[in-house]
Amino acid sequence: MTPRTGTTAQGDESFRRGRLAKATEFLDAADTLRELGGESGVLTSTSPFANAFVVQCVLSGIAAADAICVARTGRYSRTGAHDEAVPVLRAPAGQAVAKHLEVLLAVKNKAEYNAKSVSDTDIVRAGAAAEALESAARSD
Amino acid sequence: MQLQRPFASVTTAVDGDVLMVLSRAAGPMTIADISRLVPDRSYAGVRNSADRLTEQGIVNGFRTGRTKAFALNPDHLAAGAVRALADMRRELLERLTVGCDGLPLRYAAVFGSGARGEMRPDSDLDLCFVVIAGRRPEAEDAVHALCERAQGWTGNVVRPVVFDESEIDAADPLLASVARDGVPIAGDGRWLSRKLRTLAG
Repeated sequence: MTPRTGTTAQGDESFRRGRLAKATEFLDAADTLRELGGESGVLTSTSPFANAFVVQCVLSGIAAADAICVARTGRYSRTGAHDEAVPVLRAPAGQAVAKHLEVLLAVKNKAEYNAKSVSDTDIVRAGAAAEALESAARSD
Repeated sequence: MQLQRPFASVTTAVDGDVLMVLSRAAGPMTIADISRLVPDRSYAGVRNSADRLTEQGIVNGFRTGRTKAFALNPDHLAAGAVRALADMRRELLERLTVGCDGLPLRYAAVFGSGARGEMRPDSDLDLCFVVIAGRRPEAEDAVHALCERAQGWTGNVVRPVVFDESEIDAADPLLASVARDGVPIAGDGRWLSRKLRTLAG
């Protein structure tokens, strides 16, 4: 799918670096929450900070996606809306990378706004997706 | 070579920069789009280059109203070579990752100017290796052999910094810079950040 015009904004090298630094910072924060709330470093849905961990993963993934998009096209998605942000990343980076953002955006609302907590699977998948996106942004 | 400017290995002309941008683009790009990604080149230089490359057929030009956009011609005989040049950074990282396979490493990463995208042609390529505790003697020869190969791949002097896992010091500024900027090539990519945070309490 071609990204719709008007949903992207321009970014330069300094923007890319700033977003990458934030992707790393949010991932560090997620790690800290995992260490604080987890049993032997493993978070579950009933652990303290389970939802906060996933939110940090989502923030990290969105920041990393921006860094990847700007490195390749000079533009990034202006919104975190699934139908807009994922195609903007998929076009230059491919489905394998975009899939990680899909995973994170799928759990975003659940972690941020729902009354129900994220599941064990959400926690594992969000952590892996955020790490993969941050790593891809560093390697780009 | 400069990892962030792989085409400079074969040409320092603006054509290399334009091909680099177009080979990674998701679709046709205007001259303004291309210029934003090569800020040290003039708008006119980018436009002339795009026209020149279109004349050679390696780039396709598209006109929509008053706007002209350009894309790499994927069918051109040279398209594969252009993509290979554009992907040299990724290729180097893959070769380093494969080279680290089987070594007793907890973590390894490219760091310094190579990781930050700030290399000059004569920059060293800095590599950090953290060896599993007690296995440094068996790792060192292989690490140095890998660095010699990397020097051949890039033409840059490759400088390894080797730590034993037990030597990691949270106050070491070099390790802090590796954790901040490093591009992992072995082990869990988050290992060093976690280790430094744990040690710092």
